[in-house]
Amino acid sequence: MKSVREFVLDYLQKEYSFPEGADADSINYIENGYADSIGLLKFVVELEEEFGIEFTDEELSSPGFKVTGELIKLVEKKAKLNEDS
Amino acid sequence: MERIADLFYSSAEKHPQKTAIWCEDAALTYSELAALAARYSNFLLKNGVSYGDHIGIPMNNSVESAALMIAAADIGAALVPINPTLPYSAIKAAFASGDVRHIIARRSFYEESEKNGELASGGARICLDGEFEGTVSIRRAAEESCSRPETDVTGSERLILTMTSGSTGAPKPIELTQENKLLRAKAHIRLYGITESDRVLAATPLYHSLAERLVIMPLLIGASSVLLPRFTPQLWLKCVEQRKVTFTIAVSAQLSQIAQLLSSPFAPETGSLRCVVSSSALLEAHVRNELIDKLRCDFHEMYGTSETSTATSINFREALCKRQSVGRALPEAEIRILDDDGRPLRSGETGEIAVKSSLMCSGYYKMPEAMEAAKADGFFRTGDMGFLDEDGYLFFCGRKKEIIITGGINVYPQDVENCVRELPEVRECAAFSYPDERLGEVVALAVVAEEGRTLKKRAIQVQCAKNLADFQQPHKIFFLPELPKNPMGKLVKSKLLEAVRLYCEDAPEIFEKGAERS
Repeated sequence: MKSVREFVLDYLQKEYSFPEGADADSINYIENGYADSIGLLKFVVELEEEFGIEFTDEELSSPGFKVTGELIKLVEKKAKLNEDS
Repeated sequence: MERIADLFYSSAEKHPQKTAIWCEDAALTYSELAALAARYSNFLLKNGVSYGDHIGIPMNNSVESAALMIAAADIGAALVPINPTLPYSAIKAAFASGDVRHIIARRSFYEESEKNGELASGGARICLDGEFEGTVSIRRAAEESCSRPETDVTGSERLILTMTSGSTGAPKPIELTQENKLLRAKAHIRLYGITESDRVLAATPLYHSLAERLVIMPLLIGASSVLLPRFTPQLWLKCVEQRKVTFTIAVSAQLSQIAQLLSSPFAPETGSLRCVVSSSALLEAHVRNELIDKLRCDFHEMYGTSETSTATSINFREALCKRQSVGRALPEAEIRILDDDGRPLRSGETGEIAVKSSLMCSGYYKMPEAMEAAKADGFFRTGDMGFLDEDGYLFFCGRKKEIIITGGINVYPQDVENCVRELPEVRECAAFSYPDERLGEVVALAVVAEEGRTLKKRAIQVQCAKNLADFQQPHKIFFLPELPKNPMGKLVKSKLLEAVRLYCEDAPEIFEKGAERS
C-alpha cells in the first residue's frame, strides 16, 4: 500500500507534474488546477476509501485542505487516529 | 494534396525565431518546435511505429503532445488520444476499439497497466515522464536527428481517432484524416480571420478535437499557439494577459466561470483579445453580455458536433437582433430540421438538427453502419433539437439524445447507470442532468433501493469513484421509492426532476461536500 504522501502526490500528478524545483507541500492544488471541482469529488472519495477515513464538512471547507502538504498531514493524522482506536 | 506537416515546416522556415508555442513556462520557437517534431518522428520510426499504425495516448496539454501530433502527421501514423482521467478499463476498451498498437503515456498509466492487466498491443511503449521498466523514455528522442524523415505520406491518411463514448458504453471512434483536420483548420482560419499575427489560446483538453484544431491552426500559418494545461478562470485570465492572447474558442462552462470572475472588482485587466468564440452549449444572455462588456472584443457563438465540426456561427456585433440564435450555416455546411421520420421541416418548426458538411469526419472507425444509421439523406442527425428562422438562423432548443454536458464534457447517463446497477442493493437507477451555475450541468442520480436492503449514499459514491472518470461522478444522489414511468413501464426521464422535488424536498443532497469546495 502506498503511503499517504505517495498516494496524494501520485494522484495529483497523474496528468501533470508539479513544476520542477517547486515545493510540493506548499502547492495549492485547486488554484493551480491539479484538481478541479469535477475531479475533487472523486479524489475525496478515493482518499477516504484508501485510508479508511471520512472528512468532516469543516475539514473539507478549511483553506488548508487545498494545500498539498496540509492535506497529507490531515490524512496521516486521521489514519493514525483510526489505527489507534 | 496538401499535408499538415509540410505546412507546419514551411511556417518554421519562414519564421524560425518566432514563438510557435507557449505552454506554462515553456516557449518554443518555430525552429525549436520543428526540431522537436522531427526528432519525435525519427524516434517513433526507430521504435517500430510504421506508416498507418495507431498510437494510443492518454493526452495532456503539453508541448510534447503538440509536437507528437505533427510527428504523427509527418510519418502517416494516427493518434488515439484519450482522457487520462478515465478509469483504466475504459482506456483499455477505447484502445482496443481503436486498434492501438503503440502507447505513449505517463508513468501513472503504466503503473495502472501493471496492476490491472497489460494492453496486449505488442508495439512500442513510450514513457512521457522519466523512466519506467519495459518502456522507452521519450527523452531518448533527443539523440535523434532533427531532420525530417523521408516518407510517402499523401495527406489522406488517418490522423486522429476521437472517442465519443465515455466509460462502460462501447466506444465509437470518430475518424479524422489529415485532410479532415486541414479542411477544418482552414475553414476556421477563414471564418475568424486568423492571421500570422494572432496568438491563439487552446484551454480545453487536447484529447478533444476543439483544442487540437486550436493548436494546429496557428502552426499552419505562422501564428503562435498558446496552450493552457489546466483550466481555472484565474489561470485562463492570467494566461491571456501574460501571453497577449488575441483569439480563442472556449466551452460555455469555462466562459461562465470567466464571466463570474470578471464581474469581481479584483479581476485582472485584459486588453489583447480581439475575438472570443463560445462553443458546446448556449451561453445565458447575462453571461454573454458580461463577457462582451468586460473583454471588449468580438464575440461569436458556434454550433457543431465532433462528427460535423462547426456547422453554424454568429457574430453578435453583426447580428444584434438574433442574440438567441447559434447563427447561420458556414459556407461548408447545410442545415436541415427533420421530423421523427427524417422528413425536412419548414422554417419555424422545431425538430432534430441535421448537418451536411464538407468538414464532416470520414466516419466511425470500422463502424460504417453506425454512421449510415446516423444519417438521413446524407445529413448527419445530431441528436439536438432546434429550428431555423426565415433568415436561415438556427435556434437551439435542447437535446434529443440523453446526454449530460458537464463543464463541456459529454457524460452518457447509461455509463453511470450501468456502474451503479452493479451494486446488489440497487433495484433501479437513472442518471440525469441537474442545472449547475459553474459547470452548466452536473450528473444527478435517482436511485431506488432493493426492498429490504439498506443502501447508503456512501456505497454509491465509492462505487462511482472506483469505476467512473472524475467528470462522470454524480454530484447529487436522490433516493426515490420509484422512478417515474409511462403506462408502458418505460422510464420518463423528463419527469425525474419533478419526482425528486416531490419525494426529496427535505432530503439532504450529497456532496455539498466535495462538489462545492473549489
